[in-house]
Amino acid sequence: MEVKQVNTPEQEESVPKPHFALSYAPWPTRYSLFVVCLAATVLLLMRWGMGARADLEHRQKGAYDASSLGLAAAMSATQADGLLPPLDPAPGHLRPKPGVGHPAYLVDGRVKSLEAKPDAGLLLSYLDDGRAFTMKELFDSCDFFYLGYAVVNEEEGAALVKAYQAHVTRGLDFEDDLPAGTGTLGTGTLYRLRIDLVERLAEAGVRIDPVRPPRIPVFVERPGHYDTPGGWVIYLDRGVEWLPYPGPFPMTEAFIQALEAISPPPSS
Amino acid sequence: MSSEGIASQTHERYDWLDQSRGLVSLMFIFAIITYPVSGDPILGIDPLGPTFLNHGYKYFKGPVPLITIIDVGQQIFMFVMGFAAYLAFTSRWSKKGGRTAGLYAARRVGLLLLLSFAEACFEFPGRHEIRWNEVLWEGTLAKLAIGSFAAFSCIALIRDANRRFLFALGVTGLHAVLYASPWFDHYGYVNDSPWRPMFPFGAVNLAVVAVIATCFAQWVWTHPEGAAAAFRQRIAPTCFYALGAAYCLGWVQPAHHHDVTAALALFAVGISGLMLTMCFGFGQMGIRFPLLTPLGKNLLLTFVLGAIVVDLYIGLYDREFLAQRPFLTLLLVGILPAAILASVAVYFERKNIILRA
Repeated sequence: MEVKQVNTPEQEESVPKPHFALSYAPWPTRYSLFVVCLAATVLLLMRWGMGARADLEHRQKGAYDASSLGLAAAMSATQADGLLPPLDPAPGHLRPKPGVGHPAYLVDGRVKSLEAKPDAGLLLSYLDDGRAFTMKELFDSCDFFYLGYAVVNEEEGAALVKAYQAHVTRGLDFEDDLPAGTGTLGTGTLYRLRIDLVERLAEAGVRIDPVRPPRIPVFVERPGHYDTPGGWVIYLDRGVEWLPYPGPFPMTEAFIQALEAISPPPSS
Repeated sequence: MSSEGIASQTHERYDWLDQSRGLVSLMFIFAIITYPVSGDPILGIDPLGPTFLNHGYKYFKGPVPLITIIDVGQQIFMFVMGFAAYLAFTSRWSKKGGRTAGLYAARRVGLLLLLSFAEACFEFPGRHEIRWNEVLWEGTLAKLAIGSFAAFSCIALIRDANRRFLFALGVTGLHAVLYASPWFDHYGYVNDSPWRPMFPFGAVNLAVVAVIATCFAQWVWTHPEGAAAAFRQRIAPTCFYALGAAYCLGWVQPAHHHDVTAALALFAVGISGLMLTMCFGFGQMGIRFPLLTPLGKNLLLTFVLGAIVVDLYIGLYDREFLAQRPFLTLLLVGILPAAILASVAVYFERKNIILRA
């Protein structure tokens, strides 16, 4: 049998007790100087950081607006058998035809008051968290070129520009597909943008890579809004991508210059 | 969790501290009551209840957030936890040794993380996934865990409260610079920069608030002339400096609830310190509000119970029904849940049960 030894009181006193001493210390003046220097340094560094971030946030806001624009166009298409709005037949404006589609499209039926205000702009609601916002003059934005027709490369883009100029000269509208030497995805026709265009072309026998289907630009941002050269491109799949300028299609120098020529920026 | 009676306490309870914790608990109760009835001004759904006792982002989401006192509530909660944790941690260390103190700290942090995980599991059926970012650093309970861990670690590693305070200020300064830089994504209004990595801004500055709270606590408990002198000579002036800095910073880098920008953190420090000063002063003058002490003693219980139950309870009522009957809504939504939570806290206090890690 094992006897456990227990310390006597005298033996307990000799065992070092746990010690954790925290004390009060007066505040040295040099600490105040340190705080002042720290504050100055932080403010200087923040000044630099905010300058660098300003363009980033400007671009981020542009992405936000661009994705809203793409979503609005897609929602308008749901009211038009999948067709996105036609191009404005008035010369000098690469934009959706004014008045097409419900200008106050309500995703969330709770907002009844805006139905009576057709010029209230578009109201969209993210149903997951109930956020909503209005967009003024969304379809009249001079910040974006609206292509109206499906083009995926430089040649097709050039064909679109040529067809546009010809149509405008003759005073025609853009309700139908356009015959062209170099049409959409190698066909002989420039097809109007519609939500299910790629699927319809595939069914019609046009060769489309199922793994990497073509990305068809819908809105192309006019370069020059940001310190970083480039702009946002909204695609038919409602994806939004930043492309540098000059860069890949549709942000090539030739195509943008051609678009600028037929739809010059508004005079300030 | 374990129950802890008076006999096993390693330090005495200070009623003024419990009163201040009760005040935080009351703020929290109001916040969770007003949250589900926030409405949506943009969609034309009017809020119910006092809007100044709800989060500002429920009414406006923009590049410069709308901030109310409730948006600072989480930080005040963390501050009070850090302030109280100093006493609990150091008393255990000095009386029972570092191992006991370390286990206590681990238990507190572990419990908070466990509650964070439990909350995620509770939401799992509806969301079909456990959001690990919320469990580990973005969720409220996760941030409280990180703040507690930071507080305990800094007490052990930086025993000079002045230096610990400088360290915390340095971290806040770094936070402000990183937040201003283009390197990291923000939680806020423009939250769509997939090419920028996320950074736990909220957790970092909440930890800073907790560390500063431990400095305040050390100044109070170790001042050679007593707590009153500490409040007069150190706490109150520091709070006013913090509020002044928060005001100035607010013009440059606005306060943000989720990312806890430096402006918000310093504002929280200032408000929390002045709240403690007020409660200490009330204690000196014999002013006390009986309901606050039981709420304060079981702060964590109130927090957990309120977070789970109140939302479910208010969800039982039809919104239109509530909106058309303001007096009934005051009783059913404004008062009843708060009264029930307070009653539970009083019951536990009368049974001398304090539930914490």
